[in-house]
Amino acid sequence: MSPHDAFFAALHQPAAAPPAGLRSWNGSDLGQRFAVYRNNRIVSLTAALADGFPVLQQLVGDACFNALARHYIEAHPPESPALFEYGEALPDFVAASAPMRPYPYLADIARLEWMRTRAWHAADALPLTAAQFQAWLQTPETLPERRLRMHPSLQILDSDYACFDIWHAHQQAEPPQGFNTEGPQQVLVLRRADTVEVTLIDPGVAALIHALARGATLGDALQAASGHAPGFEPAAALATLIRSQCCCGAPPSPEPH
Amino acid sequence: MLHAPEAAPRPGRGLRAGAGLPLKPQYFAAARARPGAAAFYEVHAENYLGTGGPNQRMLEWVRDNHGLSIHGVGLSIGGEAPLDPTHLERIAALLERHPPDEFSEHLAWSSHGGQFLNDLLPLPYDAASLQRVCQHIDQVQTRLRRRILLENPATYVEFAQSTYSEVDFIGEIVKRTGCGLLLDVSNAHVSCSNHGRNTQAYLQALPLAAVRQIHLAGFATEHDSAGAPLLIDTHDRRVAAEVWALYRGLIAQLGPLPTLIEWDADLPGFDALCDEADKVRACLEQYSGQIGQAA
Repeated sequence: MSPHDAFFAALHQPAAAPPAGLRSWNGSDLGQRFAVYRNNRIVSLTAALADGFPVLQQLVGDACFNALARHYIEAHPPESPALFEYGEALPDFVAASAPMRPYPYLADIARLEWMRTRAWHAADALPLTAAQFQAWLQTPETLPERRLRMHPSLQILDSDYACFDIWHAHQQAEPPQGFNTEGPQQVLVLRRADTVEVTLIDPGVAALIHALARGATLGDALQAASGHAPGFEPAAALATLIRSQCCCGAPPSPEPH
Repeated sequence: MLHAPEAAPRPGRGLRAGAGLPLKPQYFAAARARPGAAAFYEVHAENYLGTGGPNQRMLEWVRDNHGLSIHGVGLSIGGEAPLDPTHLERIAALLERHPPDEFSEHLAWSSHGGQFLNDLLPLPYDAASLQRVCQHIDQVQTRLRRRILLENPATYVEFAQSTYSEVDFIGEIVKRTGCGLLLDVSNAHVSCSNHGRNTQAYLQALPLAAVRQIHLAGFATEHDSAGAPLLIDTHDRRVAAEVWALYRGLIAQLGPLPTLIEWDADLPGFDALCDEADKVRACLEQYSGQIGQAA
């Protein structure tokens, strides 16, 4: 076993003796000194997770979050040093965690926070302007065949719970006294002007965006949304789409020139 | 006659002497509002490997207005296994996109067995270890097409199998690879305290002519089982008085150097960082008449 192997193995065994082959200048306890490294790993990775999941941390409290993080770190240790990519499996881990079972919305809150991190680092793209949309309206007959590219940061959370309300209630300095958890709610995550925005959207708009993101034409997407959400109003949904600036890129023109 | 506009800092130019601050998203707005706060900014490479977004734009802003130091914390140069080629490629792409004035890494390992451990771990100082570290630095310098800086570590244990002192080990690395030295004065103080060494003697035995940048950070003081101080490199507070004294001595000896205030946990407001940068500037100005606010 190499020094690295022994060091690595002992890092993962909190109760084990420090690896052989270490020394201290004054003969002081190597266990205490080695514990600094054990502690650094867990504390720094826990801090990295807390950076990405601050509302989850608030909801469950520090002690519970630390225990959750410790279990997660052992079950899913990071492979890459790019820690902003660490935590992808945490929502499912939360969903499968027995102590979290009475609070089924926690996993969706973790999903929402993971979406926010991804949105922060997602590729840049210019949103389609209202003027560009206006130009399309000059030839309304071409609209149904248009396709739209969604902004790379765009994600939608379809939650059975009131995830927007819960998340929003935890954006203040003081923790909320109480909050609604009853859903469902559809939440749009989108980076605009260097800010990651979290917005509550209608089920119909969510269905429209899902369909467009899959590559459907505007006509097919509007139809899918109408089928999905009773009372869906295409004009209002399109206005929301334009206002939110979630579409970008020049879609293929039906009449190339 | 037409004059070309003043160019942004070019790759490989090296940082100019001055005070540097760490840049984290919490400080983006404050840093933009106070363009004279630092001569250069340092970022941890691993936090800037995303595709787009505010982090990438912030690096562009730094490069247009300040010196840029990119500091790696994940290459695991002291690791036993070959370097992670994927991670090295991502670092190379980052440096191509935002060419920094310096790129630095650590004499430490942080990955093993396919896991990233998120700590800077110690290695034995023997012939096999020296050869491996030099190979890794050669590989990094070849791929990044630049000389890198290597930072001396803060450690809590030593290896019985070591046959080199830390300073001799670092001296050999510098000689064999041509890399520069990022002298972390706090790490030197922490390690020397933790291993019963004289910090002045340690510093003087380092290849000081290779120093291109200095780091200063705060540490916590605990005690080992024999009652001796055990200093923990926490980066969560102001720089200690004894480290400032060592720093002033080094600047008096070596002349002004780019000097970074590190702060990675219990982050303070931007003002506290600026206070620390002021102390760096005061020291640098004492030993040079040419250090300006945004030198």
